[in-house]
Amino acid sequence: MSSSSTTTTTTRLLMLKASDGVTFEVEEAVATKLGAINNMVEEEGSEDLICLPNVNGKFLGMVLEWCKKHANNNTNSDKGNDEVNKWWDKEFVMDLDQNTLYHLLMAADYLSGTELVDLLTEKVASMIRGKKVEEIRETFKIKSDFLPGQEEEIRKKNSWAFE
Amino acid sequence: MSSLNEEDGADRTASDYLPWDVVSEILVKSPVRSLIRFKRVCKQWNSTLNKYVYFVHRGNHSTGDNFTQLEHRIVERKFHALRKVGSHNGIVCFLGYDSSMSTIILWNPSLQQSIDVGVWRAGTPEYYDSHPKHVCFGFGYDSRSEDYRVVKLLYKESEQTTSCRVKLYSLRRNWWETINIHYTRLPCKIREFGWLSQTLEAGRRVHWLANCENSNGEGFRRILSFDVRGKVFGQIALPRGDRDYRECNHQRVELASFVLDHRDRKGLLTLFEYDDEEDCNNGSRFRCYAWVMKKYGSVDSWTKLELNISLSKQFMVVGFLSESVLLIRVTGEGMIWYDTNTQRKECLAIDDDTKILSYVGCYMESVFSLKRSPRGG
Repeated sequence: MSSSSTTTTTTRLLMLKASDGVTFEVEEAVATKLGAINNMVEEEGSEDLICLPNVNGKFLGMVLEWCKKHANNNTNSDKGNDEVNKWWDKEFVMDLDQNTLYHLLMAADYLSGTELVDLLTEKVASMIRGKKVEEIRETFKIKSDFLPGQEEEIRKKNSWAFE
Repeated sequence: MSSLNEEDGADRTASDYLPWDVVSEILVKSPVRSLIRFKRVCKQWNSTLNKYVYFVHRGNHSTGDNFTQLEHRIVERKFHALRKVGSHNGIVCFLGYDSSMSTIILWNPSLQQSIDVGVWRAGTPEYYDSHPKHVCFGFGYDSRSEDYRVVKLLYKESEQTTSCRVKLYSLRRNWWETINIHYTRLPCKIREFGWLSQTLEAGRRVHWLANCENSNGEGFRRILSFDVRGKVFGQIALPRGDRDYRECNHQRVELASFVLDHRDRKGLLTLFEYDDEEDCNNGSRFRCYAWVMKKYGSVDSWTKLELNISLSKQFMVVGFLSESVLLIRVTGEGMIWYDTNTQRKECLAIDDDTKILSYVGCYMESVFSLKRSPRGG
């Protein structure tokens, strides 16, 4: 554990430990983009090692990659950075497969990364937009709990939306 | 971490994958037409999507590229004129009139539905009463009964009427109720209402700028409101009080035509005051100030915002698009965006024929179906 006193010149480093034991050393300014970590840092103060038993290393790594990018781009408050962030966000979510996307979303939600959750939910919404009901159930691992005929009744009631 | 929202009372069969608050974040970002289909996924989604009828479309209002033309004619018929009465939670209310009839139309642009809720044919007194010269309309919403309401205020300038007739339409009951309000219960004597209305307080109160008259027969201006739930009038004094406006008729005051929901100005009564005086040194310059009422109903809370707009042509501010960006209609030029911080202006990326009257309102997606509700009860 680092014993160097935090002065104005050194940036504090935090050690984040994922569920599978993988650790990440990140600057405080990066990690505190996540609401959950920000809270822990504020509460515990001096503790530099943070254990995150609900996130595995792969997804924690991805979340931190996102934080790093956004923390760096936000340091100089140029208007052009907004564009850079937007472009980078687009790249970030572009090739995510469904499985990764959902685990990442869970991780981001657990870590209270509000902006990242916003980005990922937008991506999911765009993916499911035109899907059939059955496909939605598969995507979200939901079993239909309607009684026989109930689903048909809802369909009929809302049929004007499909005209 | 919260997992499922248990308020809904539906069986808890939602995703093994994602916490409910994440699922609802996804739903909020889905278009209305998909949401209607999603009702069939499971009981929980169904009850949620039935309960949370309104999903705000989260647009980014910073550039002009975000306008999408909605390919939908409101009605198949042609009207001599169509005026926007108001909009709330994704439903827009219009008055259409021509020589044969006048009609109140409700429109849900996201579902492309419209219905007529009041039709007054030529030759009937109601038709005469529906001409915009003699009436004023407003559109509101009573959140308690979850009911859209249309207000029709009847007044005639020429007559010394002792009462103001109010017709209040309830979409839920599909019924126009007549309310006679004796003049002693009116806030003041009303000469004329302005057409523009602003609906605030979650749809409950509709506001108009009115020309009023005091007991000495002197005119002054005031904001009058009508509570669509309590069915009573209210009044709000303008920021500079009655006197200034009575004497300076050249000074234009208008209500904002829409109030966007954003952080600081969410649902605040907003009006614009124009200073059209000519400046000999710089040619004509037109300036504008905005007043917002920070605390609803408290006249002391009127706050002046220096908008820092100075144009060489006469203009009218339509509303705020963000903290600093305004939508402005410039005489002879059409609609522009104006950033009050940078003074940058830009023509709107829509075809705006300045000869055609256009009305601007907030667009919101809503799954509220106009086709079904009037039948219930």
